[in-house]
Amino acid sequence: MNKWVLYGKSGNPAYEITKAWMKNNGIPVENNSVFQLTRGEIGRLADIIPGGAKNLVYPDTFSFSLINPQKKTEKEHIERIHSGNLSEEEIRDLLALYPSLVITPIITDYKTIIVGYDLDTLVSTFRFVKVKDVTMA
Amino acid sequence: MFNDNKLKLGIFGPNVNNSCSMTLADTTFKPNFDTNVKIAKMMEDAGYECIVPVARWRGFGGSSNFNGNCMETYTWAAAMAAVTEKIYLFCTSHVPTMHPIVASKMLSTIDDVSKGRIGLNTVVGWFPKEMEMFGGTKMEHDKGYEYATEWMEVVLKMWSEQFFDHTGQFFEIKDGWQEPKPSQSPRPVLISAGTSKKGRDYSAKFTDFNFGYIESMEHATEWTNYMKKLAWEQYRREINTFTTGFVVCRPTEKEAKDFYNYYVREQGDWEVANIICDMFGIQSSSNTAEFLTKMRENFIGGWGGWSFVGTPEQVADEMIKLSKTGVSGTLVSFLDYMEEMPYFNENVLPLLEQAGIRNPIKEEPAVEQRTEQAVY
Repeated sequence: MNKWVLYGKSGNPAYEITKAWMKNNGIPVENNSVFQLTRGEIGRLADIIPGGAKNLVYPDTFSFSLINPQKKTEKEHIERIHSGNLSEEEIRDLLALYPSLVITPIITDYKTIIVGYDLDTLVSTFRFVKVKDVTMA
Repeated sequence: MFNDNKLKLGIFGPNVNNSCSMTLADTTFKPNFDTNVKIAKMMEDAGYECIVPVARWRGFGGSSNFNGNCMETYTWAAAMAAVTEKIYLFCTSHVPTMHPIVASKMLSTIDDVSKGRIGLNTVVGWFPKEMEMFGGTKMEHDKGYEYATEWMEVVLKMWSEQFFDHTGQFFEIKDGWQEPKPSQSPRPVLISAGTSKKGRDYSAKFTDFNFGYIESMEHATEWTNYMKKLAWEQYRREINTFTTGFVVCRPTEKEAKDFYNYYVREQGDWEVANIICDMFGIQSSSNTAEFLTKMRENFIGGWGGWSFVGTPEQVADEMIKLSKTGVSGTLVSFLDYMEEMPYFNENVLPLLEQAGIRNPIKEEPAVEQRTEQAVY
């Protein structure tokens, strides 16, 4: 049975909805704040998301500001990341320094990754997934 | 069900009239809720492990209409769960009478009510008049186990997955989903009493205990070894065996045998014993008259179970012998639980403790209290 982890930021409606969906569908998940992401975890997530680390980041400053209105200084890094001028390793380092740049929610078992709230993707991902181990030891 | 007691004890059929005794002998026993609660409390105080109810939809006939008055087992278990604290309860479920989604959900609900004390005993249904009430026919034996196999696969998916599809021979499930899952980890204990080749294979594949009758102590050892080997070699699973017996325990051997004579030989419902033995295919042509009489007596005494008749020492000796066969436990039945069980508890259980096959009862707090202690 895989262990699922949900990264989020309180106050983000998409994260709150995802967390509620997981709870109300009986899917055990470890809830982690996106601000606790380590460089190693960012690397693991970036390895499994198509397109690499930049696709863990808000697509533009507008959507970032909607969720993080108080974070002015980080905003400039969004454009830098999407400009194509940074290497994959540089992006990962930047995200480790400013984890608020990472879009939430993220659900992963470190083999599969879902970024953002999408009901159809959630249902299809958790179809046939073991949520409780019923085998006797 | 998985404690350190080498010989676990439970009772069989407190929810049906006559429980396991096919007799017209006098008894105060009644298959009602109040009596069942009193019996369960007595068992909890004495440290028994479990209660297995009988699932019966009509009586077998005979002058006793044996087991005709039966409390339905899911609702029985839910009610018992709410008023007991320690004893493990089972639902006995005829799989053709209930959809697996309904069963899995009800068990999860009772698991919550009981705080993790519900198990499932699956039966295919072998009494034709009973099964014919559900759709007009009783399933042929092997097909019944194929049905039970798929039924159990669905239950296990309901307990372990969300949003699953299932297409099988008997069930089509689209987007199967259930909440709550069972609170027990990993799941409720599963038992079955399959004794045929198909029945034993089903038991080995899914269950934690195979229940069965024993013909001798040697047979008990062979059966246990067979089941353990089958479960491991075919499915890489551990399994234990559990049998059933009836108790007549009195201060002297004469008193015990006299009472046995009274309720089995004098007042026994031989008509219903014949009906049941005929259904089990116990034929007169291939067995001696002595064997057939003894077999019928065992059915009258306690549903064909092992006979524990005698003084406390004799009953304890027989149970110690049983434990040495590798069988992990026995259900017991009494003609009159309220009258006879206290004597057994006071006089036989200490001997089993002295023999080291049962541990003295610990004053354990109830499940709810244990949880509170853990939290604080």
